[in-house]
Amino acid sequence: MNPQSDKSTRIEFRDALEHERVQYYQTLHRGFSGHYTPEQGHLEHDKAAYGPMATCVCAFDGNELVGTSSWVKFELTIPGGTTEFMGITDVTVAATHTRRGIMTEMMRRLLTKGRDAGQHIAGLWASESNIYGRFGYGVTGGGNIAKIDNRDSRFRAMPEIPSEVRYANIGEMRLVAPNVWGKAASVTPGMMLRFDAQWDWMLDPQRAKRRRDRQSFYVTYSENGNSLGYAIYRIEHRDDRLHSNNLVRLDELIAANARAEAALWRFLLDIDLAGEVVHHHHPQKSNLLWLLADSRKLSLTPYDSVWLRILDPVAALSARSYSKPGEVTIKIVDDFCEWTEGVYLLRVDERGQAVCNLVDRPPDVTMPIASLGSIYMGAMMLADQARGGRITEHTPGSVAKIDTMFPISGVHSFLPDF
Amino acid sequence: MDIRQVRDEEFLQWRIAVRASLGTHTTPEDTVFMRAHRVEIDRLLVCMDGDVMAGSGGADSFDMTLPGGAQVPVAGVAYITTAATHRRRGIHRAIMKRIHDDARERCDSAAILWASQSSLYGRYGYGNTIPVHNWHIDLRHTDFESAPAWTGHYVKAERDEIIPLMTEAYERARPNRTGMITRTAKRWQYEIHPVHTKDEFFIVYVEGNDALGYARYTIDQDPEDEFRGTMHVVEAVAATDAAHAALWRFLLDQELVHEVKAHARPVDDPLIWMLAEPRRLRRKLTDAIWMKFLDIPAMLEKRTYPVEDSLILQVVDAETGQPQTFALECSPEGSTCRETNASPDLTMNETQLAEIYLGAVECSMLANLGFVDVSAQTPDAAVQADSIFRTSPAGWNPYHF
Repeated sequence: MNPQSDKSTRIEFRDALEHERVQYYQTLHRGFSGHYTPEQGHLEHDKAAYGPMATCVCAFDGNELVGTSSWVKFELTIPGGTTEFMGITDVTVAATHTRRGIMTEMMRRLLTKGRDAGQHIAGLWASESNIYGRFGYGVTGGGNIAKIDNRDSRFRAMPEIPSEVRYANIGEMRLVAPNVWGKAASVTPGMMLRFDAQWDWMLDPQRAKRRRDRQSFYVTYSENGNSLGYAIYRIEHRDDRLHSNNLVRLDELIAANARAEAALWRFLLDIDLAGEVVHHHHPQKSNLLWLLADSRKLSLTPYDSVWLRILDPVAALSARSYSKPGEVTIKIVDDFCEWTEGVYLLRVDERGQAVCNLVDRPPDVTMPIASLGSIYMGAMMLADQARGGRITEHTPGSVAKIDTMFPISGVHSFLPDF
Repeated sequence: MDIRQVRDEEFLQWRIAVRASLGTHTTPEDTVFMRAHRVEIDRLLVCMDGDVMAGSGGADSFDMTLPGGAQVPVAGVAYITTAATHRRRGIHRAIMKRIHDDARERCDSAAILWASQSSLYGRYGYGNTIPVHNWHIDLRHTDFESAPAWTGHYVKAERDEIIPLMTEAYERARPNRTGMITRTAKRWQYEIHPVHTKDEFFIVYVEGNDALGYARYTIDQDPEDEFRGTMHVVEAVAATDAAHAALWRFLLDQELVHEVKAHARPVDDPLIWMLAEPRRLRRKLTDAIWMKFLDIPAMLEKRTYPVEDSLILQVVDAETGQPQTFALECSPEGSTCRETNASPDLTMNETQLAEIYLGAVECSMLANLGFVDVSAQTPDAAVQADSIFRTSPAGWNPYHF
């Protein structure tokens, strides 16, 4: 027996218990190179937002907590509807205990738990991009780091905007924001409904007061009393006596339609004394890019956001809708969750509704489960992965056919809410 | 002000004026080489204010590949300048109009250009048709997680023997890549000019006797740290997925280089799906090729489409405001596009059509922003157009003409 496996036999995997919550957060924060120094109310918030410790899968070396992970059930918007979603988070292994298979075992237990609980898709934000592919996760959506030089940031033409942007206080925002979010989420794949506890924490007036110089500004856009958009931003003052060069840090812009988004962008780009707007969670498909008269005022740096892991291909593929009708057989290869392996027949009708089942037929195309996760949200093209050597096409034209069915119109939005 | 063709005897003066407006100098030797290998003098224009060259413009003749492999003649618009002494007198507009009139006479189907500023050409009906990514790759951990298998080998060639090999690979890639344009034998000599490319290295990927890809690159050494060189990939063109993988494996495996920069890469380049750590590849979006239709039905008819469908499009001329309506019947195999009197499903400016034409933006996004009108009779037409114009592989033109 090699010394490695000898060490790993000491490791016990189990849920954390309520009295271990603080230890859990300490290990978690250290895993992400930080310290756990909770603000007032933070522990209570986490209890309310993320629920009992029973959703955690932890690794213990004796009494020492050396691995953390957990999952939260969300309602996620997918093409054509919503579905339950297993949001995986908190995944860390203590640096003293790496390379013993702790992460692999935690992931196996989490995904098995999810499957047993009837979840058909899981997902996460990856701390590093080389970790999760081996567990069957694929990049399903991206975001952009957007930086806008707001001097001369004219629009090509102003969309017709029948109303105006207004400042709101934090109390008003607590009412308006969840309402706007709900409208936006219902039409925006990738968005998840936020829990009340999350809103309470985010828009807590006491907490805002304590933050003083980092306080946010809030604006809303509504038409005839119907709230359609909001933005949350901070302003960082830059000491430049000759130029007005403050930085507008846009933390969140949520809009139920493109008109509301355009109105909010116009407001943000016209803030006096500012030279730049930075938006870290700008969508992969940017409306702003096509609004600006001079598109080079906007710098877009794409990044991978949500990595998706299909746990039940039949349920997952049947749950979403598709852009075009068609029939295709897909063979799934999955060496981490073998239960997903098989040949799936996907039949999509003229209305974009799907029926999917396991069949005993030769496949048109063979792909790893990660690739199915990648195209699931309709934001990625399978052809790109095929050209990268990930896909085997048995029936010529089947990759192109899948690319007429899966990609969907419109903006996706993936935000780091878990 | 008089806009006319450039005369042979004034070419040097013209070239000096063009370069000066763009902030650089030129030499007589360079100009002679350029005259012989690059320009078509009967496509070059000058705007004279008395005996002063106040503005310039022109075009090179190319064929451009459309989805499905058809080639269409295009005017590669370039050399556009207005002397800083002569701004705001309409010279730019007049030169552009003359270029478009000439190009229509020559039966070019479209005009394409690289813009010095992204706000300049929308007014003439150009759209942001082919965006690209600029790359910055951190060379630690650039292993491939997946890649198509390659069986060929690399040939490191010197400048005097490289052009036939590069031409061969380029010509294999060009018909299969939407947006790529022709490069004549003379133009190759101009591109690989010994002075312009003195710092360049060349690598060719060959299978059997076939050159399938090439890359041109330079390496800047860091004077303070010999282990931290920066590679600039001038151009990397591959005719097959295997050649693409082989070339990038080579480019990412250089000794003493810690970062690789590459400009104007395709927005759908599969390298991001090949890397075990995709975040090592940092991308930045920018506009590359701006395109204006000169013959809308030809351009719509000659490309292929991923789906079978039909659409009535009304397109408004950016300069005259005149609308024209076209009936498009499209499919993966072949399409027709004819003028019609039918009432349109979608109405848009020619700039917007140029932007959705190769899928740079979805028609439905422009419709949501109010830039495309959707008929109340056909509320799904914009989403339908999204599926029609989705283009894979995406348009790409590595050639900075």
